[in-house]
Amino acid sequence: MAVIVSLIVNGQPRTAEVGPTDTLLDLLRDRFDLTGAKRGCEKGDCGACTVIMDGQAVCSCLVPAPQAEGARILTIEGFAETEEMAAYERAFLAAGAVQCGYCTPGMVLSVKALLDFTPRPTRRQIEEGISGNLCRCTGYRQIVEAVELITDDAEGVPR
Amino acid sequence: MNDFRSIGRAYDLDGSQKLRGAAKYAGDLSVPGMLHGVTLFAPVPRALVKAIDAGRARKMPGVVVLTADNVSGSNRFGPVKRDQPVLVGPGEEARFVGDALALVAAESPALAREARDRIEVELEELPVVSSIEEALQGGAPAVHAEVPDNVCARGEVTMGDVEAGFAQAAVIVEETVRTPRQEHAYLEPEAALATFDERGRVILYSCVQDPYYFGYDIAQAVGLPANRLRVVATPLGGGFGGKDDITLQAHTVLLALHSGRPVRMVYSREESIRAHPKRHPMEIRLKVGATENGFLTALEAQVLTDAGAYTGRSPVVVTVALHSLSGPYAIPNLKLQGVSLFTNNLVTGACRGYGQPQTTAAREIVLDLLGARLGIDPVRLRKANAVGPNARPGTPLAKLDSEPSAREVIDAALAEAGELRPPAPGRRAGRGVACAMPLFDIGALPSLGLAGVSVGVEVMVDGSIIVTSSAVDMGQGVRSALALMAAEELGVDPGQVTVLLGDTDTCPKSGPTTGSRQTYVSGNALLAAARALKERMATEAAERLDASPDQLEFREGAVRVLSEPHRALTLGDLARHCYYHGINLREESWFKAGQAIIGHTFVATVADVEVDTTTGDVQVRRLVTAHDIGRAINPTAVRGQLIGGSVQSLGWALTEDLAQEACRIMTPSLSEYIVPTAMDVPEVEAVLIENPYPSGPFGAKGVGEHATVTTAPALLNAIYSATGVMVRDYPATPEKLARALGAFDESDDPERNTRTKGDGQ
Repeated sequence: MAVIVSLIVNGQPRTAEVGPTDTLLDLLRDRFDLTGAKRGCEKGDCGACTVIMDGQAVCSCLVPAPQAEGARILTIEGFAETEEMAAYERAFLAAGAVQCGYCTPGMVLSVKALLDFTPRPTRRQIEEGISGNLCRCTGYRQIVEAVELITDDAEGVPR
Repeated sequence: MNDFRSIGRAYDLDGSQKLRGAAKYAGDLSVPGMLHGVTLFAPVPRALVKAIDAGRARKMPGVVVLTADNVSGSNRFGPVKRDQPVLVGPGEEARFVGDALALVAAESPALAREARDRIEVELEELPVVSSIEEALQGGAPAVHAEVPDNVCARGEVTMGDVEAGFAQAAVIVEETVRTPRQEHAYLEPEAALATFDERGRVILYSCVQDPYYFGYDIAQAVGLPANRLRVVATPLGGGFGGKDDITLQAHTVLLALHSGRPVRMVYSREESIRAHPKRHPMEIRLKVGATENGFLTALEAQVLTDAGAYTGRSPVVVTVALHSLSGPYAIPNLKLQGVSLFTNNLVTGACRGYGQPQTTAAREIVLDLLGARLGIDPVRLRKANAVGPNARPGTPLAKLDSEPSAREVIDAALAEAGELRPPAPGRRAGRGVACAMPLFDIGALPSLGLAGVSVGVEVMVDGSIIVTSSAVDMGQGVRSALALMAAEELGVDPGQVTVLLGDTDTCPKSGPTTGSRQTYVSGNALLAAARALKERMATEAAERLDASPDQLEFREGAVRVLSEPHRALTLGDLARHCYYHGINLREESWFKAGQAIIGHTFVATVADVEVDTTTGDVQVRRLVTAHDIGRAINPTAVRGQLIGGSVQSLGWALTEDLAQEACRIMTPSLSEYIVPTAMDVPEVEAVLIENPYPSGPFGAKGVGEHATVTTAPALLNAIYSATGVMVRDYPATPEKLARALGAFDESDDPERNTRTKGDGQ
């Protein structure tokens, strides 16, 4: 049974017909060609598919597509268009926080969700905030450093 | 002296695209008319395939089903020996759960899976060989009928007289160390798109570490002339060696050829884990002799490893393992033997470090046990035995062509680490050290297509530069490294350099991106090409500047007279001149290594841990890894390799074990196979020591794999130092530690504790 889902993706109203077992990740990647959210495990282990849904970071592979009815979704493609992204980009590149890049879009959005709620997190809060996003390349240190650079940047002072 | 303009800069040509979600990985590609392919894997680890009935699946509209009968090539592939089937057909044996029996393509992945479920397979299940022990037993089934003893590969290294060495020893320690099968766990599962160009040639887009090898091995396996298959490496979402071997790529090409449509295949995480080759699990029996003062007199070793169902890379991994066993130490007498055995387990292949993490994991913890027996501090023991300028290093492969620096890296790591901090209440703190002399490939070995490396450099008509190499970027930063080196040599800004990678149509053969080799080999090939172009350009410029060619330098986008830099010709003006005067400014060099066989570097890691002696919980507080890297072309990227490699090794030391029972996978997904998260990672620091390497480009050595070599044993030594318990069976899980710690406190029976309890503490 197909279901019609209407939602706001990156500020734009979108509608699509989905199958009952389709996930939000399927919808974003296969219908809307928003491939920035990655398939890594399809069971919420890796976080590569993270998007922001109504202000919360979620694994889009765990959200049934029909459940996204009426939701506001921010994907990396949408975030990349914002002014906020510039600080993220500077910080991630300066810290060397991007290697293969496959975890990166999800990681960036988890960081955004963290900083939206906790603008000046401790190191442990940063580690907790990204603990649902696996990265096999960097060893995480540079990502934590990047988040610290973003918050320093926002306040104009180094910690 | 180092007035470099580009070398040593932080530079990342790919980072922005990746951050913005704009980088297209293989699974992100789609083309009109594309079908989706899926694999029918062997449902059991070993069986005779009696029949495959795809009749019901083929009746479904738009569904294509392929079995072995449809393969017109050799239907076999393999990097060393072509013994792995692309598809296992009726009358043949499936030898592990990653063997493919049939392929299906359809308009959607769901439809393809539905069709796959309708394929009926008749199997006769056969008894499995599930472990090294079983493979060795007389009367064990033969995994390959033509190999009745199940021996896949053997190796031996001997030097001096090991018996005489043990006769000189005051103390002899004998230990058996086991290391687990490791899953690469790159975040991107394998994916491929096969499509057609306007001439009907197949283009394969996929995440592969060696486009040329994939091209020629797949072409022969599926029956295509090599010039009808173009391979394009997409950005790799992690590789670590695991994408150096063929998995779904041959299948994707077959489905495209037979359907006449573009086909995309994407593995699920579970399929990725069952299909791609793993790090070799090893059982390493070591016997080490030393004098009372701690000087090593002899080392004897038997290395046993599980090849899995096919040859994979076992012959090479066994060789590398043996040659890395003596490490950075001058041990005069060696007798090292290795054997790899066929089982019905997952195939083993390349994994970051290629046999060296396993041997180092064994040797370095045994050295701490030896130190405890002798009452000698582990650092002193290592420095006393370190290869010095006049000492002869270990094995035939270890002919050093640069100054050894084992003592320097140990001192540097300890200096950075500072004092061991006191533990939290109820915990014990400990520090461990490990040292190694990891190898990196320098393009001299004929096996695996490693020898001979070509890189193209072209100066375009406006003075901008294009570099081409079949190296691939998997996040290690080879694109940026080549741009920095080209910019340095040609005297332009790195922004003037475009680097094209990983395409067999447009890039010359640079060999695999493995063995920590590409900065060294493609870097040297790039320099050869750039220098040939400079010589040609200097001849032209000399005439126009009224100077002799040897008075000229390439700097800041121009060719300048050395003593009078204002007498100059921009690279663009010079390139335009060459364009109109028939001077070729496109060069493909051919680099072959000189005297040495393999490169070496020196690495030491210091690990600080705290252990909860009740629960066995290990908190890693600090990791410091010091590397003699020759020269950091891009220090930020180098640091990334060292920290990231350290954390991979941390996972392998403490949690990661791709366990198999009766040849089935016990950790089939990332829910069961536990890799480190941000919460598990301690303070990690990398110390870069730059002793320029004489034959390296700008003095650079290879670096990509080396942090995975020393971290694991440093951690186990730290746990030993904290608790007196030395775990010999990696990983050191809380369960193993808690059990050993309980026994350590409660029991006086030495027999009960021999596997895990430390001696001499």
